[in-house]
Amino acid sequence: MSTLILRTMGRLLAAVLILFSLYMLLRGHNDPGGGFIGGLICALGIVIGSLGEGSRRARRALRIAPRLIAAAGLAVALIAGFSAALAGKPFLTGLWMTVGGSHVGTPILFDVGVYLVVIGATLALLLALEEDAGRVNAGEVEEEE
Amino acid sequence: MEPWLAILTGLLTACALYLVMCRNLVRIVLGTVLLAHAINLAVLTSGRLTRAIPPIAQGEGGVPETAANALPQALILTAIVISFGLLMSVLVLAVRLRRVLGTVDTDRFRAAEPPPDVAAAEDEHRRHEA
Amino acid sequence: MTSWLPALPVPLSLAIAIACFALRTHPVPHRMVSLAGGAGLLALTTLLLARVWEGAVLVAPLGDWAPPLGIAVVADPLSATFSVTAAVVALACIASAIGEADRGRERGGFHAFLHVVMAGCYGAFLTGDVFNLYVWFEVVLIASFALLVLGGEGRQLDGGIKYFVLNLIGTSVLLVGVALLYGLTGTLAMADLAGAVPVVENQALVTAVAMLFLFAFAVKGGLVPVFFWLPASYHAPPATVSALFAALLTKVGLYAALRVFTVVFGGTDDLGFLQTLILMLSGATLVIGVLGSLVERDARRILSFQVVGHMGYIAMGLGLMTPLGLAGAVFYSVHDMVVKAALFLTVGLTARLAQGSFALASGGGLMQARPGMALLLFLPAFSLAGIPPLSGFWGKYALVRAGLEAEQWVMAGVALLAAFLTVFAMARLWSALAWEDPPRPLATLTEAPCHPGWLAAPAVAMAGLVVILGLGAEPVLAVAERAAALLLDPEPYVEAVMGLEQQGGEP
Repeated sequence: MSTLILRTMGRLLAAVLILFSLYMLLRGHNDPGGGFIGGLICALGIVIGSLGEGSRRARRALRIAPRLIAAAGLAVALIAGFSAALAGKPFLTGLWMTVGGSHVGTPILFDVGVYLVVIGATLALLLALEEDAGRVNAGEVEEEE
Repeated sequence: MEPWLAILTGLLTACALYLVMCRNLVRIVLGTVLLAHAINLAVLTSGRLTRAIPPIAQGEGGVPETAANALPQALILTAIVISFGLLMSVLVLAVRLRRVLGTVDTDRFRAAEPPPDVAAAEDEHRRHEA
Repeated sequence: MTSWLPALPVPLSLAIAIACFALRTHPVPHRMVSLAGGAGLLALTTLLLARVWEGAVLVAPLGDWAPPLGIAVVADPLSATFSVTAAVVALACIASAIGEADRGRERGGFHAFLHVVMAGCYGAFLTGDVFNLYVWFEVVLIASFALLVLGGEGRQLDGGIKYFVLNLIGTSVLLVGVALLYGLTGTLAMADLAGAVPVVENQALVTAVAMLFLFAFAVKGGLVPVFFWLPASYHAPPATVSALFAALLTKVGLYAALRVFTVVFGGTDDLGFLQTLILMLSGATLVIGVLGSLVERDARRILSFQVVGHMGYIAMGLGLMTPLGLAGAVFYSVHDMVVKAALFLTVGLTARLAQGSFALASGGGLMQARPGMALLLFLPAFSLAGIPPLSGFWGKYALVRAGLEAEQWVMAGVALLAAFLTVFAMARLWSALAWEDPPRPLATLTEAPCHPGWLAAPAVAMAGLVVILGLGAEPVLAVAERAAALLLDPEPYVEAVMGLEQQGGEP
């Protein structure tokens, strides 16, 4: 699997896709995009990188376990939801303010949470799948011999 | 347009059910994917198919009258997210099953429910253990 | 009345799940957070029940968008009763999981998944929107599936795939039903649907949609003939997980049926046909489920079939659709959640501490060696069978009386027959585990480390609850009657939800 072409292009594509995913996340406020699609693109970038470099290196590059990323994202989304209580509004109500001329609010925080949940959950399952499939293939080779 | 999409939904559902009823686990997984697609199409159709502009507020004027109904799309997006998550987990499970039980033939998945004669033999064994 | 209270159980459960997951490598704080979280949710849902005890309806519009545009979380006596009972069961299962002290599963995130299952259950109990209901069904499905296969034994994976695929088809059909209902009425809020469904011109289509909902809820609720995933999987995971599943998962399906077939489809032309169909399903479930439990050789498989069989009683109350029938169904659900959790926890306890296996063939001797355990098994087993004054008696009494009052003689007869067969099945289970001579002398098994006190405490507590629920059935029956009244005449529910002023968030 790990050819020179895949390794080189994988690294390049991973960087581009991760950057693009941030763009998708932020443009989701008024245009098509958002946390879910951004998270998927980011996870895709990391998976493409890991196909060339191996899932172990991908895990090391992430530094944080994917499932913890998902948990952290859920926590961020919950904080965004609960922050409505500070204004005495019902759960999940968006709070808005103007910072330096741009309109910022808790829905963006919520979207960031979704972004992290999607990255974490997708990577946890995809990397596990990659490692499992590797083990099954290795097992098959032994059987044939 | 609606009748054609209804027929397509039916076709996809038929294929999905055929695949789900196969003995091969991989086909079953593909069947669930196809079923999810069929249902998303049904949700889209039930929201009425009309040509309309995107429902995005235009300045102070609010959403224009001719804007599309965004709800079916929102429902489909949610359903896609869910079916994506379910597909991922069932794929991981399928690979594990293949490794642990050594087969993808569902007729040979008897680990949880052994055939009656095997179960009876196990019971006999338990009685004479002591 | 708007309130924050109904919106809280779901996000708080998720927050506890996050905390459990972050702490999963530190055994003691991990377990304490999970236990404290379970206790906190019990306190919260009890507060919720206290606020709606007299029949009030609390509404929390999410994001300040009032229905039908937004999604509202609604607490009424029905949803609060189910939530409190679920919280009790969850707390018992958390304690029992601490007793099992399975470090491998804990590191895999056992407590976190348990709290996600609970978040899904509270979400399904408290939501006021049919699409949201579907979402919570899927949350419960995916988290319970993770609990089911955690540990990765062949048995679990095998049960897991059957559980997963059959439930997935059930929820897919639910989604089609939701889509068609939206196509017919243009709304998804249950309170809005209550008014919109009766005025749909093509009532035949409404009946077709109701069939889709019935199929989906029958799959989730384990009704015959679509129950096969249940006995295939419930005996595969550790006893604590079985207890949680047996108590909660099928009840989520039938709770949704209780809600949707009264509030949403209560005003359709073909209600009589729907009722007949539900009664036929419930009769078949009662007979086939209980008969199935008579031929099994493993304690947990016997109990799995009992889970199937006794869902028939709840469906029977729904099918009768009289005030007494629905009240009986609500009371029976509460009883069934407690008693099924008690049975699975106790069977797990005896297998763990005395017999080393769930097979009836290796059971016996509890009466001489461990009389306390024999009694602990006796109470829930014979409550399930409906021996007065234990809790099962009152539920069956209410349902059979409702059947007789509605002149459904066959149904009342089937209910009595199933109760009689359950006595037989439970007597067989109890005598095999407690009365007969054991094949080998009982010993305290120490092959796996566990904390017997933590294992025994929830089993004792649940068995005690069975007795309390039997002796003090009156207040529970009273709240069940109020819940039933609100289902049959949902006017206050609709007013509370649809009467909210549309605020809307700023863009």
